[in-house]
Amino acid sequence: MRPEKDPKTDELLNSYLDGELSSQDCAEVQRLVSEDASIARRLRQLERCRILVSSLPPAEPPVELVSGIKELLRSRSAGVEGLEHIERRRGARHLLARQVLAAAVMIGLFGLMGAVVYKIVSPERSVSPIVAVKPAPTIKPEAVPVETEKTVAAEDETGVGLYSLQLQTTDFVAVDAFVNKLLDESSWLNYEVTKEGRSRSVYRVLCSRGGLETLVSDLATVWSKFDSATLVVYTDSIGRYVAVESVRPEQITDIAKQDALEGRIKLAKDFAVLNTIEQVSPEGQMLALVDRVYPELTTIPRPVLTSGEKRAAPVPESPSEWVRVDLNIVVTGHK
Amino acid sequence: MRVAQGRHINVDDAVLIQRWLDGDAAALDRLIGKYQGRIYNLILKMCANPDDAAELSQNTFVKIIENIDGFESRSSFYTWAFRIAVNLTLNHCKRRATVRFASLDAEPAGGDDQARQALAAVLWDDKTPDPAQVAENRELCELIQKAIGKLEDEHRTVIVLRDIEGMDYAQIAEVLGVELGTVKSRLSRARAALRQILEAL
Repeated sequence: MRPEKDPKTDELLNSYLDGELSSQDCAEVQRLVSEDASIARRLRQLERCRILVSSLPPAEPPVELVSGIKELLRSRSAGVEGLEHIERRRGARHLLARQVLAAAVMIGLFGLMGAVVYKIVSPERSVSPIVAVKPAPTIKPEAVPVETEKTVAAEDETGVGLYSLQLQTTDFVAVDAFVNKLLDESSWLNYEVTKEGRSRSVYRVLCSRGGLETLVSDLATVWSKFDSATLVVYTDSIGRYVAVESVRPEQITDIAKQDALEGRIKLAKDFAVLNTIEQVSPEGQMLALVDRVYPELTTIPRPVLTSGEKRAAPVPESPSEWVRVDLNIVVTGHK
Repeated sequence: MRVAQGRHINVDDAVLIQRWLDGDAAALDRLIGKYQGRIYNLILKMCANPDDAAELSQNTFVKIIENIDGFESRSSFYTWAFRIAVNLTLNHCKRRATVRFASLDAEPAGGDDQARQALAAVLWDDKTPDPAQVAENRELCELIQKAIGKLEDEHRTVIVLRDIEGMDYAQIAEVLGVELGTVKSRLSRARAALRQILEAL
């Protein structure tokens, strides 16, 4: 047997030298060594070789090794920090731009939300935007048996509806003529008109609630001519009112039907919210939703065109049900 | 004969590492101080150049520090750190293509006859050599280092880990990322090769 040429024997002998054999394998190696001189010689060769290598004295590490490590760490850290600094500066610019953009968007959103909330929470205003500029005239109370000498929004009483309907139109002449004629033909109401320049007319109307409903249904036939229609419902506090923008004819009659002032104010607020949301929401979606959930809020029979027909007077209300309506109709033409 | 010391260090290592991670800078100094000599010697025996060994030792510790968060305590810090050192050194050796021994390159011709005779006596006499006497013979040590340097990288590595660092087979397998049987066969071939190189000297 030539151990030098036998890798398995070498592996066994090396494992034996390194103490990596089990006691059983150790005993086997010892038996082989005692019985085979060549294996014993090979074992001694391997052992000497191992001793020579392991006898090499350890070298002392250079004294500057630790300081070198720390210096290397510092330089790498500085490099990383430098890169981070550049990245931070670059990121800061992007961040600033994004913050400005976000702030602008937030301001816009807050503005929009504020407008909506303002309409919802505090639609009552302390300053009347449009009022009759002069005291209302004395009106013969044939159909309207109430006192008339008062200023709009100056005083109110339970059961009296005090409103201002502000209509803006680009076709002022035609619309104003229509309103004027309409009021002229409405024998169940009294009115007085004040012309202010060429593009503004103020009609002071006194009628019953039924008369108002008829009047509004007639106005509805030209509602599309109005660029804007705002109903102002006055409260019993001087100078405070609820403005319902983009008001629709049916909303006016619904409000007027409320017996109590609180009911009129509440409904006016609801309509104000509804109309405001409708304006800021995608076209028709909100209204469609409300229509489905509360159809009674938005649906009333559409008025019938009365052009060329004899207009029927409203059904007379019993004295106990009779409620006076004091309505200013302000027609304004766009410049 | 050296004794494997790695297993006796792990508990303290874990404590030091934890202290260091907790912000104790002195723990890092102790950790470096504990291993710098052994890692430097391992690298020096593998690359045979003191300057390269110093630089590779620094890089090893930097890499250890930078990757300490990724160290999993399932393995010992000792074998993990040595694995980093071995890999860095082997990559360095591959880049250099051949290992050169500065001391032996500058060796004066005929200046080591005495060492060669001493080596021959150790190799062929039946008398077991005295490690202390070998260590005191500077020329003989240089011959041995030269022989080690002539080994293939994988043979040199396993010889250094076993006979200089004193690792057991399992630790060597962990450091090299190989099977235990591979360590056995590789070490056997390495010693046989070293024997042949020494005889040729």
